[in-house]
Amino acid sequence: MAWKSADVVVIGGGIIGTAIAYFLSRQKIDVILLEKDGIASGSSGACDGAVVMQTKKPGVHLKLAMESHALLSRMQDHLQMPIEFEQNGGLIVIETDEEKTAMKQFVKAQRQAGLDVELLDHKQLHALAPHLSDHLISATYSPQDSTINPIALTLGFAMGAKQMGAEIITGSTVSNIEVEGRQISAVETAAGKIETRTVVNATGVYASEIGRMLGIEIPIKPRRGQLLVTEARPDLLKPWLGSANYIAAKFNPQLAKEGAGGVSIDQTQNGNFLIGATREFVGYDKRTTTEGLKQIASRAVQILPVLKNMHLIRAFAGLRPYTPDGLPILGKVEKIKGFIMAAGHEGDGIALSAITGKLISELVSEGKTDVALDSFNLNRFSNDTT
Amino acid sequence: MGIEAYDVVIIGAGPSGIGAATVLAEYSLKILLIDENNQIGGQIWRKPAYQPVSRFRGHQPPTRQPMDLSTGIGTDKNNLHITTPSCVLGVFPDKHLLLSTSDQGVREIKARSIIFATGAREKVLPFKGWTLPGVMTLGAAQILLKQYGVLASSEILISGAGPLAYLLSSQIIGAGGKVTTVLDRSSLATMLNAVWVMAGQLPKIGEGLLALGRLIKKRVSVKHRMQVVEVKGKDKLQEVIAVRIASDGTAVDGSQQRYETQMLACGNGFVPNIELPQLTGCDLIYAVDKGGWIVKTDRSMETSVSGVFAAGEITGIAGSDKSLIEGRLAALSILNQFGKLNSKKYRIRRAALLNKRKHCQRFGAFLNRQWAIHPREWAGIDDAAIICRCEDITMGTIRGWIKKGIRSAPDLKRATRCGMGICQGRTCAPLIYEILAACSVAGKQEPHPLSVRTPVKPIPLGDLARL
Repeated sequence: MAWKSADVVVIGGGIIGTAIAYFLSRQKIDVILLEKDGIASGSSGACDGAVVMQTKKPGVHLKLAMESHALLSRMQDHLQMPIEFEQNGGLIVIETDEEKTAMKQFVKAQRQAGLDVELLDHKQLHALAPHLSDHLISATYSPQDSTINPIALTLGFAMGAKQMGAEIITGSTVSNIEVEGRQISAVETAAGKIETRTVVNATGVYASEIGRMLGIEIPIKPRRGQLLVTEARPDLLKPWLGSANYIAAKFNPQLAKEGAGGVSIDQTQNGNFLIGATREFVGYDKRTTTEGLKQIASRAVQILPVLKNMHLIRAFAGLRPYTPDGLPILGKVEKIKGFIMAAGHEGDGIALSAITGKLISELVSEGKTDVALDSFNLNRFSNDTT
Repeated sequence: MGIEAYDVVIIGAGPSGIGAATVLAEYSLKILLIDENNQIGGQIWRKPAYQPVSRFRGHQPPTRQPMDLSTGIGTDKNNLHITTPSCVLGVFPDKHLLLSTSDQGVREIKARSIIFATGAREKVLPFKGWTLPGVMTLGAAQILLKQYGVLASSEILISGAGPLAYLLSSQIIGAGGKVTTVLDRSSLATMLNAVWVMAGQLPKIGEGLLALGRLIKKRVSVKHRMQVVEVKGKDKLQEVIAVRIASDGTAVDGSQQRYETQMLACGNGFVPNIELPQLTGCDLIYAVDKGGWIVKTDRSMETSVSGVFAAGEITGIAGSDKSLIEGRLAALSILNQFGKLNSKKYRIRRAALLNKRKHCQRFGAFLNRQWAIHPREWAGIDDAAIICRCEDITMGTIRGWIKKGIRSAPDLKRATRCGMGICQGRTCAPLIYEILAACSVAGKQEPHPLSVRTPVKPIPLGDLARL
């Protein structure tokens, strides 16, 4: 005897799972969301709120990010929770001539992809952000870059979904997924069985565990990011800021090793500075380390010296769902009918949340999507894994 | 700077930390005793920062306080290092600690064993307007008096329950100040009951009688079962409104009293400072009769993390006698683990201390019962009363989210920012645990503590960058 039934079961109550539940409910699709702990209790509650276009690879990655940005910029009209979306622009600060050369190339490709981005000289940069260190020779700037409160957005999606009829069950761990033939038939939890023909795996860093229940290998690994939060202060830095080696750390690990370490700095609406981040493979260990704190703190005060006398009020770490090529895994899984992947966004989960939710709901309701998801399909890794 | 290594690091130099240090210092071990105050001794053995020169006579420490312990320690023991005012910012794997010092910036240290003796902080039952200047805790008023010889105000209204309310009143009178009224949350019967609980602890009864004697002599009015529900004033405190609380936790109709005053000292018991042990990964237990979230230990005072010990108020609020005993117990266990004390001697000394501890624990249970807040009292708190002082989150906001289905403290924190501010929930978290328990009608969940993050106390980013 089944406990419940639903058209779709979304597993994972983080930013991706709640966004999917939200967009599915908007299409009047009957959905149950299962979360093993609380909404936003994992990576989505331990990250920054960058909705930054400049850090995306030109191509389909950037295209998705821009569509997601457009959705997020209008999302407040639909959600009750104040989500603190702010389009204050974003800076990628440059410290060396080598970085400048590399960033010039990057900007060129981004402009071709339709992003409004330009290279600022020393004077323009310091006029825009007067508290920055004088040693920063240049920066790229995009007025499209924005920030949002990730926890509020996750809760907003969850509450919005609930209002439109979705059922959200927290404290509920999935123990098994039942398959009849090659078709999904039910999800098992401690409380009982939920009959469904469609399951969305939105479990982020735990996606491979869900995959194993179906004998599917999913190459997502947890990558730890430590972040620092300072006391709140009146406005000192308007745009979101990343260092050029932040970009390097994201796309070119070798280049990152040679640089001084990537850093991102954002002053939130509340006035606190959110400073990140390390990128470390240490399994599911969410502790902070002295090395991590030292590294982030010293880079941050180099770039924004006013931080020196500001108090650090807490440091925390979140696990980012890393994939080998830095792109999320989205769409149907060939081997099992009714099994849909939506995980592996690493540090882009917040920025890509809305478009992921929209695309997956399209995929469920219409069987296809506006944007082709081929380059995000799990099967792109099949050569690596066999 | 390199990492300094110690055999034992003791965090907190109140009765339990000093108790541990005095036992350990007799052996050839490298010990570090850390306290965030300028002087060791904790709140109970707090000493004047300088000779009082004010017109007040100053605070006279009661004779039974083992002041010699806190003053004599470390003078002739070169293996015991004391660092004050210093604050442990975080505990990292393999017993690595980050220490913020006043003279040497941030230091990294390493320990073979750690004793957490981090004590307790005050808890206040919030009311509308309690963030107004002119409202302070009982402990704050006591620090002013004990350490600086300063009266908070020439006239003061005291509100609270338990020994501290009376002790402070007596100390204020002793220093030449005036206590206008004592509003005691507990009943007269509870107070009389205390005599039975403290039977066999004559010094405590003596202290209590001394305090009461002073109050009677000065004709201080003592009102029982009264709770402050609102304070008013323009920019600072002018008026205190209190009501009588019936045994079912509701306010008695027509019992409202108004008091004009410029200073209110209030407090309602203590909460264990469990943040550092929690950060270390030590198992916690929620025990209302011990003060809320406490650190779980075995009979040797070892926590669930091997080589990490907890002593004093953090294992259950019960006062300084228990703390001293547990500090010694922890020290003996470490000596035994290090092979400095043979098992037979260890067992004999431990048994004697454990036996003494039983009496203290009984006293502790009595205290915590006296401070217990009836679930209906939470229902009586005004919507406008601020619960999280860092982020200005009101009782009304919290009620709203509970109505929307929030059941756990971490969920409430994410939804409201309650506990996300600069104090990391040290003030509001203990209140939230009780509010959730009292206001959630159905679907009650296992209590869940708020997470603790490094640094447990704020430090300038520059200090960390220089490390």
